[in-house]
Amino acid sequence: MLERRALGEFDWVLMSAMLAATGLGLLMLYSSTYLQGGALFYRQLAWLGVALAGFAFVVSVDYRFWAGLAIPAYITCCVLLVVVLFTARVIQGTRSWLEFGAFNFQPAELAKLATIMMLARYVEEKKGFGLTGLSLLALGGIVALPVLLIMAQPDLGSTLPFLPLMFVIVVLSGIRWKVLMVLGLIGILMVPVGFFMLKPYQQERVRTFMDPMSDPQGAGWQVLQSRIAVGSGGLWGKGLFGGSQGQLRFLPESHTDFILSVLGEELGFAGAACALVIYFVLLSRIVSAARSARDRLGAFICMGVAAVIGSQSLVNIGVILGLMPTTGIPMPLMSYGGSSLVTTFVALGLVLNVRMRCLVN
Amino acid sequence: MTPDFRHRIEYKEYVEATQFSARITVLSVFCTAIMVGYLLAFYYLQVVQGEQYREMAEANRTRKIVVPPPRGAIMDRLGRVIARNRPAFDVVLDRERGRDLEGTLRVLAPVLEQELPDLLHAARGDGRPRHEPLVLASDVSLSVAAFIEARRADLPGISINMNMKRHYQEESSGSHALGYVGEITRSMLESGNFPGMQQGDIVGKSGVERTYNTELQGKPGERQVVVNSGGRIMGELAGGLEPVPGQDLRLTLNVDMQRELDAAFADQVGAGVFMDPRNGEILAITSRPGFDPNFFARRFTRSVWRGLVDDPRHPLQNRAVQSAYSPGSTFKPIMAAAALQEGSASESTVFFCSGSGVFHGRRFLCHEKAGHGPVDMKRAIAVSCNVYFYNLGSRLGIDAIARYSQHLGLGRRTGIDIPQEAAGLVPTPEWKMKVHKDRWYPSETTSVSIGQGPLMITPLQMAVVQGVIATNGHRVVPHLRAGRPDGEWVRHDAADELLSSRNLEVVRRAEWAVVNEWGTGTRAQIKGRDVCGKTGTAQVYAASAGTKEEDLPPEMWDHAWFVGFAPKDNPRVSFAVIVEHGGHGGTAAAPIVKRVLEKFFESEEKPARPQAPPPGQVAHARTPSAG
Repeated sequence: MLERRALGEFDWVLMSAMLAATGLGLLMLYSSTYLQGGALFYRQLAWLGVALAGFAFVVSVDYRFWAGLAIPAYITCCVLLVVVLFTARVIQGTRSWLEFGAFNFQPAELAKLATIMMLARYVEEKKGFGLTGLSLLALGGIVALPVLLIMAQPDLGSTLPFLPLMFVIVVLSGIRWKVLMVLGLIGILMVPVGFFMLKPYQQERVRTFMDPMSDPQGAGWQVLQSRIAVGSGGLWGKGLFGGSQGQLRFLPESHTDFILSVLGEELGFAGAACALVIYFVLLSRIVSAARSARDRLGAFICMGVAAVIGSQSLVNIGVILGLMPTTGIPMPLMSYGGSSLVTTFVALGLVLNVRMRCLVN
Repeated sequence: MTPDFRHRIEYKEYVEATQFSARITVLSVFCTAIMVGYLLAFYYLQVVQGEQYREMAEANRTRKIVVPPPRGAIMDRLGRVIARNRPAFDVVLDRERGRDLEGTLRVLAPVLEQELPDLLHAARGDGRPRHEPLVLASDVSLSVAAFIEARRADLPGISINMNMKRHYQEESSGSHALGYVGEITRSMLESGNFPGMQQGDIVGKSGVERTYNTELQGKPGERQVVVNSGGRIMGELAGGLEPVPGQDLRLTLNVDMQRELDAAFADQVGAGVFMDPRNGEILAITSRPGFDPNFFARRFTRSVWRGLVDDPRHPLQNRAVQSAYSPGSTFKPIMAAAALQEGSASESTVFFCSGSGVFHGRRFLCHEKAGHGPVDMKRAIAVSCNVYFYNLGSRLGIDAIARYSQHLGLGRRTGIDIPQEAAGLVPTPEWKMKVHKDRWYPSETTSVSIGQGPLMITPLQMAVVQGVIATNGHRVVPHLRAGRPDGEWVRHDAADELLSSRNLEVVRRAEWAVVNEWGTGTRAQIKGRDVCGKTGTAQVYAASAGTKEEDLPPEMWDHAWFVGFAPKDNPRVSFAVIVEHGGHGGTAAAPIVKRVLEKFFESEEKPARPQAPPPGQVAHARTPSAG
């Protein structure tokens, strides 16, 4: 199934950027958790094995075949999302984990992938060029179903990437700028309403983001400590294992959502700039894959993946820098967490798949 | 797969129709702009503001722990320890290490003699951070501490924490001079007299503990520790500061005399001072009732404190320096010295005592109703004839009396090195006009002549005055701290120029007669020691003539004074003792003086061997920290 010509188009740059980000993430994970025995590191290594297998599997079969599975995959994901609501244990206030022995999995991560595929399928099969009101509704419906289910867990952070995904798909499927502006205006007007729909702890996060010193021991702690961690790294950092903020647990969630703070502290501005460059290369290669795709399906898959990975990365870095309120979004490829790693690898596998098969044969 | 040209063309059209490429470019530019912004933000945070955040991270990670310095010991003149630090054991619970808390506390409750619910309540910690050890019981006995140490394995999370508490060996003996220590109060902190101290620090609160607090307390050390976000100590940094132990303080007190003085008082109320008149060294000083300063080092309850404060006998009051009394007849030697010096009378001046006399239109009584007949000065002092001194007072006048009194140090603080000394009072016409808005009546001079009226003198001042008489006008500053050059404590300012040694010798001979011939103080007589003294009774209640004191309830009895010095030639100790409501000085106060003086001469002849501070002074052991 894997043709020679396709291998010739394999995007080694994208692959390298992906592995570089993952490697950097593992390094920081080891550094920030070795005091707790390093078990998390080895677990993440095992997950990396799963992710690589999934990646190879996805790459080896034409993406159009996978797109054919979009509907059953989407339905399965939605069913799983319903199942976790009823069966899952409550972990940190949400029911979002499916447990398989030692390995836990978040269906919400898979749902992102299935939704991208569904959206791309819909755009592919739609007749005509523009974006009718009806198809806008249909796209909205495809996104809304998993989002509502995930919100019910409740895991607001995981629903966040669906918004830019929807936005990118809508923009690219030819929505008129005027319509977009009207929708945007409505969105802005909804912000205050949305704020009051947030849970009190989420409102607190927004407030402390505005003024972290208002409660430095309480809700503002994470924001402040992250800023201290990154800032104290200086130009060259304190060296691996040398970051007091991460090592002494001043930084909560240092191995998951705040892994970049550890990097900023231990590897300094040099390390942070490297990470930024790696993600920039990664994203631009995904966009370039979209540009060179041979059909709507491929192009929309790539841009969907770009939207999800790009938005997650940008929001995560924004939080690290204290430019955004805490959201609970992991850094793709770097943060500890199996579901996220596997999903991201599979998504990037799809992008490489599109890239490899860009030439009409 | 077959080529699908139709599909391809359609996609191309689609791409053009939807401005697909352009829209991707817009999105990419938007995304790139954010990333460039982030790069600048990282630069700003890490490079521009890096130093500031590095300091914040350092402040996060390190804590300064104050290591209290061991307080200096207090010793008597021969180096015998009076106050030192003793190890005290606290039972401490580390909740992070505890397992089966209830089971553990069930074992502990009978050992600590506490109720289980109380212990469980204490173990909750009332919202204090979990890593902070909780003190379940403080200052437990050594056997309890040993019991717990031996069973540490069965009592997870429980440990014994050793710290230092002040210990006063002599308990209530000499308590007022020593003072006590306690946690610094807010008002002391705000006074600015205790630089560098913080709440919870232990400071001297009265007596020499207060006066010499700075030297005794030493300088606190500092440990720099690395803590994690929970505040748990993860390690220690080099470069801490060792505490500088407080200096030991050597006092002029003689423990043997001090004990004897306190014992001689038994449960009588009063005060006593024994001083070396040559240099002002206080040999023994007491105020009764005393208190046990160890109370303040232990956890003492509100009720204990209230008990001390509300006690009608005011045990916290240092009567020797803070209370001024009417001197009564003990003022007569001062009158005699003044009259001799002023030339108003000589040793051989004789007045006739008929039991009373009329002065300034009022009849004043002598205590001897039958009268003493003709008395000269020596006899007047020895038998304490009032009429003789009424006459001297009339000749001298209030201004001269006040001047000599003030030259002898009355009416102002002696400058002893313990806080809150009272100044006493020497009345003058100016004083009366100022305070009572009235002129001075000559009959008041008559009262003052025998030590009555508004005249007020502290026991300490009395001992100093007797010292001046004993040493030819050599007036000293009484003090408790040993080891300073004598000269620093001696005031040559006036008294020795004012009072000639010839005149003072007259007074000394009279005081010798009080004790050794036919006087009122024979109960202080010690064979071969030539004790000199003067009795006095300070009126508490002006009994109408004919009422015998014995018929009055004891709280209306007069205060009994006995003051003096010994031996007559080359005197080495001066003293003043007052027994409140003791009746006559000769019967109540003189025996106390005798007992202490016997101790004095005994220790002079068989001096106890000076002692070096005990080896391994516990004060200098470093307190091990829990955990």
